[in-house]
Amino acid sequence: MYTLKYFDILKQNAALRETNKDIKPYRIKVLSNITCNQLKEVLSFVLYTEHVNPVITFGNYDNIIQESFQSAGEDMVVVQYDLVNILDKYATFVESFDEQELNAVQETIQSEVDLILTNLAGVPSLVWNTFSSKGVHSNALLSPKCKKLEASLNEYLQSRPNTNLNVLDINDVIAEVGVKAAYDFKMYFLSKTLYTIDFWKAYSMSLLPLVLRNSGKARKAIIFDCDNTLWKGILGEDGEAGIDMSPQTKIGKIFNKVQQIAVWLSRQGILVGLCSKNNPADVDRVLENHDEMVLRKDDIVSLRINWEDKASNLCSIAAELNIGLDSLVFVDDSSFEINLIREQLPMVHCLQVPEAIHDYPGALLKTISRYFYLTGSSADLEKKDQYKVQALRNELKNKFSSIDDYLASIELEITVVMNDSANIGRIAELTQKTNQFNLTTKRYTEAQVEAFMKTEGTTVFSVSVRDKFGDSGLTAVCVVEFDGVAIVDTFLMSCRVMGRNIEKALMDVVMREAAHRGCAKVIAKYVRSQKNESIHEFYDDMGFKCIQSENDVKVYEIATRTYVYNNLRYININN
Amino acid sequence: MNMNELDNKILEVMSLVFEVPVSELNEESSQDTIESWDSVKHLNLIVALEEEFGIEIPIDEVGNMISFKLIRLIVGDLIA
Repeated sequence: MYTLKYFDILKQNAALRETNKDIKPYRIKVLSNITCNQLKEVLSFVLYTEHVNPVITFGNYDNIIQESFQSAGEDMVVVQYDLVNILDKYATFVESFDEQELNAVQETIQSEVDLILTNLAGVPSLVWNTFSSKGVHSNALLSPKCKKLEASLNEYLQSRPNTNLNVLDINDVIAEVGVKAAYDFKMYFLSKTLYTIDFWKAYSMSLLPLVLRNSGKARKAIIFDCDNTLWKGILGEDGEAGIDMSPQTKIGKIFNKVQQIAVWLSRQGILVGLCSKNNPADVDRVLENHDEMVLRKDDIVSLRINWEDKASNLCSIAAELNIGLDSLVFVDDSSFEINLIREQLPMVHCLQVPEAIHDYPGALLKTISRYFYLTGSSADLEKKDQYKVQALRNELKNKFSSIDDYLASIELEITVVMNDSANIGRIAELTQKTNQFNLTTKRYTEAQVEAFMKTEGTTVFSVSVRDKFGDSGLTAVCVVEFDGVAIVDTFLMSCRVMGRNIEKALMDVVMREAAHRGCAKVIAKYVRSQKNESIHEFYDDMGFKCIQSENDVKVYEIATRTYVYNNLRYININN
Repeated sequence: MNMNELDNKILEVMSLVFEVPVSELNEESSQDTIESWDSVKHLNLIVALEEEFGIEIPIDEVGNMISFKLIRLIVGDLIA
């Protein structure tokens, strides 16, 4: 998987989609303030290989809060609220922040975290990737402010009591890939795509165990061979005194570590079994009497010490434990045994003891972290109770019952300018680029926009949006011809500001202007495109009547005096 | 890599990224003829081309690669 190029992943996915199409879909929605679309194919590939059939969708860019209001039906929601892009919204570099500014940023984000968590309380599984300051270049400082911010935000996040919350530490993922290979600042400055394919590969592997757990596919048992797997040497040849798992010897300590890990797993509720070609009485003696054994009989739930083939033995272990073969991980040093199992029982995950024996504990831990879902110690369970008290306190704080309350809290402000000749370039660009919230999808050049502005009776409205977090700039455009009746030629809005009811406020402005100019009615059109399906009822919602509907075009009208103004109290309109 | 191999490789990448059969692509294919070529797929195209050809596409060229011919021109220069 790590060696596959993006191109190869696309190729394999095309085939895997077919193979997995009858498996019940697992729906994952990603909410993010950066572009992380490339996660889709990479994560799909990782999940397809584990017989999960993912349906991965993305919320609108930088609309996490608004999107969190509408995530019903998802099996999992992943939140990637990236510190890099949060800090880029401010006009001052983070290291220049004073104590007060730093606290203000922190409190704002914390209240957003609470709101999002509340909104997503009904989602079965919520993954929140930690805030990382690795992409904020200020590590030269002894105590960078971005690191302080990172630490306090993550501490806050981790102390949330929400039972569906899983905090995934992306610094671990970044460490695995390396900072240089994890970030792609070219794509970030072009399109807010911050992370590389390599990052998403490692990330997908980190997310895997949780998805497996949620879809009932996490592994339940690990079955070890004995000779050269639990100890160095061959019991039948070297004898009890000749095998080595001593914490004192160079090679023995590696096997000692492996046994320690096996014991830890059994205490985590993972079923540990043995499957070895040996005389049962010999292995029994080692398990009971050998001084340097760490793994003991008590830790082992099932043994197959005999001379039969290992495929039959694994089948009989699975039957005895009443679990599927696809719940097993099998560890052996022999290529023969590993290949036999891979061939005969492909649903068993196999780990071959690495040739470079010093890599063995690391490889074992990696396998464990991908295929098992470990719940943590009993101490963690106690902590959960303390969290519940905290939860009650928090419920009273920072909780908005509706999107309107939320919007009211962010101090939305829009500025509407008519025929703003200073921004012709940006207006033309919006007509060319906007797809989703674009009622007619008419593309205009700068010259055409300029011509509209110069035409008597035609008005180009352009809208800039800001809120207490920052300025989104010129992000909505409307072109109207006022000539006895008012005809709306273009009505569009960048997806960056969707979900804030800006469109309703703009409609009010247009209708007020129509009334002011004595237009008795307003005519508007919805032209269906590949991308604007979601707004096909916009004019219906605004109280317009559909007077004609043909193919992909719907024509609407409304008598100016019957229009009911939205008059949104939380949007301040400057014009 | 000769011209033909280059063309075929680019078409193959485009076909996978845009989810359009290779048979429906030709020299004239562009953002205007490929319905699914949106801004997100465009980024995927850039990443796939960079990996496939082992090149880094300069930041100011990314926005120019909006047709098969332009892609061929820019990629051709970078691997030359």
